[in-house]
Amino acid sequence: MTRVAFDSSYRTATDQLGIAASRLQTSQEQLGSGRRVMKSSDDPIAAPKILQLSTSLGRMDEYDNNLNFAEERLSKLSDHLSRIGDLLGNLKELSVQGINGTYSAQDRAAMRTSAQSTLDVINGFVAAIDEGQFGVDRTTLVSDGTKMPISLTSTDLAALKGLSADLGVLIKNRPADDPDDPDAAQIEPLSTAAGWKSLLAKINNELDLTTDSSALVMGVRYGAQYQQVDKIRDTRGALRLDTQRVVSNLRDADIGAVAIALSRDKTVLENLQASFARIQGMSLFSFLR
Amino acid sequence: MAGISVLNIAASALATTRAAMDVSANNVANASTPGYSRQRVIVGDLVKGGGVGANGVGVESIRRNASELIERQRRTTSTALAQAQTLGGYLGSIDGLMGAPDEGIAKALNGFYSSVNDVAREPENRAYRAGLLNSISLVKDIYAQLDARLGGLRDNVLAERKGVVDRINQISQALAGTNTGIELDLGAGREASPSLLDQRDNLLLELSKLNDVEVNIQNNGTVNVKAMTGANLVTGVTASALANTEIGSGGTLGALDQLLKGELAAVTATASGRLASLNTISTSNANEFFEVTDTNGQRLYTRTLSVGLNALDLNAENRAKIVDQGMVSDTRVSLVSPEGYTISGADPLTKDRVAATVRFDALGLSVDNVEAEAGSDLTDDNGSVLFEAGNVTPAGTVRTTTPAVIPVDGQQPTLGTPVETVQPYQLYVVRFNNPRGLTDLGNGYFAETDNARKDTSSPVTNPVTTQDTNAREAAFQTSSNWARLRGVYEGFKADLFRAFGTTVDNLKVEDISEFELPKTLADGTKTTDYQLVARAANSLLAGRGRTESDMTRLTGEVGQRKVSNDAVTTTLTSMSTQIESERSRVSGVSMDEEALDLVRLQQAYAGAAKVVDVANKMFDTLIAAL
Repeated sequence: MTRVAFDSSYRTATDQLGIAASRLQTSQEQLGSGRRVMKSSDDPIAAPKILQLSTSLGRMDEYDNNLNFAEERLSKLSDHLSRIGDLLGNLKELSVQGINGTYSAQDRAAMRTSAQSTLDVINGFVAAIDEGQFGVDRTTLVSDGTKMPISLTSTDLAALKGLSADLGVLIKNRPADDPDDPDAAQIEPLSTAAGWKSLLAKINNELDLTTDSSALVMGVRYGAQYQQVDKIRDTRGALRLDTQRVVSNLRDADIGAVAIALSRDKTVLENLQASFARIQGMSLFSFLR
Repeated sequence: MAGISVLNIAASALATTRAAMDVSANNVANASTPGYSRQRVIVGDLVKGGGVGANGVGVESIRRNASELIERQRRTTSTALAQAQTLGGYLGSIDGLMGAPDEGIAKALNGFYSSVNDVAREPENRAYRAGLLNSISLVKDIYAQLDARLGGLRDNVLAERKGVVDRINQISQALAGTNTGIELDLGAGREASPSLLDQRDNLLLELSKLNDVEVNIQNNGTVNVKAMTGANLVTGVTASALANTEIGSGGTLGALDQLLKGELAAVTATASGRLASLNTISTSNANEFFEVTDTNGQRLYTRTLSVGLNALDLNAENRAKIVDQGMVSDTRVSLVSPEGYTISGADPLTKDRVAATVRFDALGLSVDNVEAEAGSDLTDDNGSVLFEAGNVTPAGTVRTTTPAVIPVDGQQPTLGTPVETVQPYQLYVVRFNNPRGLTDLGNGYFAETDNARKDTSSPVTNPVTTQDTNAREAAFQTSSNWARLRGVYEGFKADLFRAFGTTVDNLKVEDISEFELPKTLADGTKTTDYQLVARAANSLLAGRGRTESDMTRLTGEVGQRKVSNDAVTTTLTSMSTQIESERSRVSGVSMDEEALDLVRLQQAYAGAAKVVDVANKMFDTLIAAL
């Protein structure tokens, strides 16, 4: 016959009540926080994965910010370059007219003024594109391993500045020799048909779509990058949703399951308490007279 | 006389029954006393020498129900369980400190890198720069809190350890006392008191929880105890004190030592080490390191630019530093010798200066025999002049006196010919008072055998005197680098060096062409400030993968350690419960059993009393007949 010692039932009850209360507390915490993993020991396999995926989500946010910025900059760049292309087209029309010998000197002067105004506008766009102290060759990371430009390359900027300078030489009047001498003779490049011809040649060269340094080609190049933005954004959107789903699966509690567990743990605890109360009231001493 | 004999027999029965009832009452009274063993009365016939017939009954002894096998199992299990529980308590604290995997320091780290990304993309945006400084501050605060709490845990472990050793020594004293009591009982011709034996077993159990001990119970009931490390604790009636330096081999003391040397040290080192790079980022303003190594991989010099994130706040002073002075006012050259010493050159930094420094190292001159102060010759131990003070003119001529052919920037200059530089060349020898426990080479110099990074303390701004050197040394000792080195000294060497390596990996730029900065744009404008900020930020982003993977690994390790220990604890708890039940079955007090005994004893007592009554009546009858 097995002897049952007085303190055995107390010890068993204490142990089991502790375990049941602890389970109940865990269920309550999970239900209250909505999370299954509240510290790494709750699931040491899932915890690093949660951290890793959360970091990935944070990085996606950063990439999105970078992408928005790149989109804005590329849009602006593409727009400016396209406007420069349009203005070069205007200059071309003027040049074709300037070559025509039927125009009077007065007409040519008016065309020259128009060409100079157009050049001023082109220079304005070049200045707007040139970010000065903010630098050139700037890129930003828009996804793992993919960079997108957010400024002109130094080569492109040099080409644009070169265009601006070349057009200045071909269009603007300037002193022939001593710039400080008010009486010095002026060079007026567009006063002759030959001058307009030189300008037309330059512009034709600049509008040649086979030349990388052409403003039009540049515009197309940056515009093409701009077109990639939506594609990258869509791809990442799907990836983000999937990552969020995995994080949620790993980290968040299944509320239904936890609620059932809570109910079960509560019942177990109540039954334990009731059975202990019943057992501890039983004693042979009660029957001794 | 037969009549008197009946009375004597009945009296002995009454006395014996009352003694048994006392024992039963004692059992009931101690039913819930921890470690109490049920006692029972051994009774026997009182036999007179050569006598015939019954002589009554008497108490032969009072013994306890106990099993030495069970007690030994209790001790063994308790040792392992106490170790696992102690470990579990502290691992739980560490686990709690780390918090949820995607909260706390991990979240702050994400915020930090997000800010770095903003600055890398738009360095000109002042709001982003301010945001980054704020996020650095946040990471630093969180790191400091974690570091402090881990330090607090370590202090707790040390304090608890001291308490445990004291308690072990108290128990040894008490056990020696029980041995004395047992010997006294035996000397008086009695069996050892059950209470003394219970006390002995309880003390042994408590001792086993505190440390793994070897228990040797003698035939007479006394006990000799030794720690598993061999130190005697109790021998007969003599107790020996356990030294505070003794390592625990199990139990609570073993767990605490395991924490100090293993678990806590590992986690602390991991946290301190792997996350120290964050602290460094915040305290050193993320200096950029430029390093050049020779063909053998020996680091020849380190260049530190105090720009980087410092330049985030592009106020007039920083702008002047970076742009107007061409970034040179805050730079220095550090030549790291094979022996691990740093020779720092003064500003400004020029390619020629770098060349001269590299050349100096390439001469194979051991730095440990070199010492120099500004304005004096640089000599070696043998008195040979290496650099002549007279040749260090304001115009900046450096003369070397040892011929050698050293490749510098693809050229092959022959040393021994004065090499012109544009600035004065001054050398500084930084000496340390053996901060890392290195091998003493004498003359205040020390050697080390690993490839740890060396001093990268504060920038040199002016010619250095001995006092300046001392001041720099003092400054170094309060710097984060010193703290890190002190950590190395305390035993966290590998992790911390790795962390330091992480920092360098994060920030290292190996492109020597960077020395041509500041760059000048085509229009002649110096516009390097924002570029520098962006580059510093991009350098940080390049190193984020390592930091993030360290963080991920740390999170996994902490949780895994806790869960593994919990599994061990659960198993041991289960074993312990089983053994305790077994002990209860053998040694515990059953109230029902005691109640039945009391009923039985009551009946026996009533029977004996009836015998007295009958004998009394018999005597009355006899006396009446007379």
